[in-house]
Amino acid sequence: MTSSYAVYDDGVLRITSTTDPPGLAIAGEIDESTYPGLLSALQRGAGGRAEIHFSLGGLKYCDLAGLRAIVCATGADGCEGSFNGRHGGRRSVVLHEVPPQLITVLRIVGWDSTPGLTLDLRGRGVPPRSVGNVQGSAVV
Amino acid sequence: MSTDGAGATFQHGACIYDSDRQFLETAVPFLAEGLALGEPALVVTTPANLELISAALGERAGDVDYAESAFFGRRPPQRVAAFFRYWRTRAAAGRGASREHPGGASRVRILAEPIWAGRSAREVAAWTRMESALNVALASTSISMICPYDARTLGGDILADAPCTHPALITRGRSSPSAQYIDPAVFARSRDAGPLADPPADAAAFAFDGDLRALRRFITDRAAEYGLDGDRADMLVLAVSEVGAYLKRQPPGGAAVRTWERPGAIVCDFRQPGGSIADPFLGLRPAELEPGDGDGLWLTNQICDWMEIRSGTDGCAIQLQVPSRHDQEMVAQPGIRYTT
Repeated sequence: MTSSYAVYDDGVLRITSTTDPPGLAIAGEIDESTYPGLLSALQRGAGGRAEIHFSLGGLKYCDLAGLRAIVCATGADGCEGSFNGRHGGRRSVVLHEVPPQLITVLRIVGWDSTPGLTLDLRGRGVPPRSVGNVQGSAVV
Repeated sequence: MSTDGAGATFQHGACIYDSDRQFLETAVPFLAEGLALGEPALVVTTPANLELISAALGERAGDVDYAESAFFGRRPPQRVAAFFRYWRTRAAAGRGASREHPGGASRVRILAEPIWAGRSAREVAAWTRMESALNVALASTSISMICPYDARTLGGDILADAPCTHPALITRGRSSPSAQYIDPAVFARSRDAGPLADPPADAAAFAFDGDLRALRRFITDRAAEYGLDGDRADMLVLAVSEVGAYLKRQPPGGAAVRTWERPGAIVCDFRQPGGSIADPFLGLRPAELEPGDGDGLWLTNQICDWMEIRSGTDGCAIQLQVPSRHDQEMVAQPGIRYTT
């Protein structure tokens, strides 16, 4: 995953733009203190794109509101109040290198089946190829 | 039970039975009528009652969804979430479209018999509280639910509470209003009156001043101290941080946090002097993509074995409990805690 430039960095949450695949690498901690930074980065990074990839391998902590914001990049039903609603459109969102506890949370809350969301469950660092519902062989 | 209309009204009736025949007199017409209308129907009960229903429904049995009660929501909050998810996937996806409402969400029928045998008094209280809270937590759904109560095996207190927690009583398939029904908020407060466990003198203490990262560092260190690792530690940190985020948002913010170990469990206790939590159903309404108040506490409730909230004149408290390193269920069956 090629990184190009930092979109956001407050020392706790670092978000960098990636070009291959196009998207954002999100690292650090997401809670209410870094949530505004996440939202602004999502707005700038996802706006106008039909497909976006989020690399979450460096995410040490993400609360439910932060996870919702990431999932709502899909623009799925219920996301109307999120940043995406203001910028419009639905898009394909692929999550890579998802930390195990976030996969657990996605399953608990049922957002793993959000239309437009794909979890790339293959080994870390392997670039994604296609967009299906769930990629890779790991069991979600 | 009336199932007129597909509007989002939760219908909730109790059926007290004392023979297999009586059980089937209510269960079979309820399910058969739903199937005839094209409504999704789920049976959550004991293996013995599942067999009874399957035999009684005959060839229609194959159209019914089934779950053994013990595996459909381990604790009351997970049970509520399981009901909600069933409704979400079966009705809202349109697959349950009825003749009256082709292509749209239909009503969904659930026969739901909780497990009562072998439960502690504390657990019975929690499941009874849930029966009442369902009327609020599932109010936005189009679920028609009947909860069978087996008078042959259940204690008098459990049977006596059923008409208080269900707005309707079902006898031989006929529904009538329960005269003893108690407003769920009133009922919940009456059951939340008991004090929370007092932290022991040697509990680890942390003064939470709103710094969530510091709170997470504290609980991460405590988790390591208690021998929790991997998913157990990560999920405890998440559960605790969401409680901290909630308390931080509400005046006066901050809390005294204490943790301790007791046999089989790690307890984390938040006390917020001067604080107040008015909503008795906080953390019980399922989180959705559309944000709702208490979503973070809903997640905490899903993660923990217990989350109890108290609010009084001197402040409010939230106490949660997760399995300790001595818990063997996750060893025997990885994922069981967070996926059933």
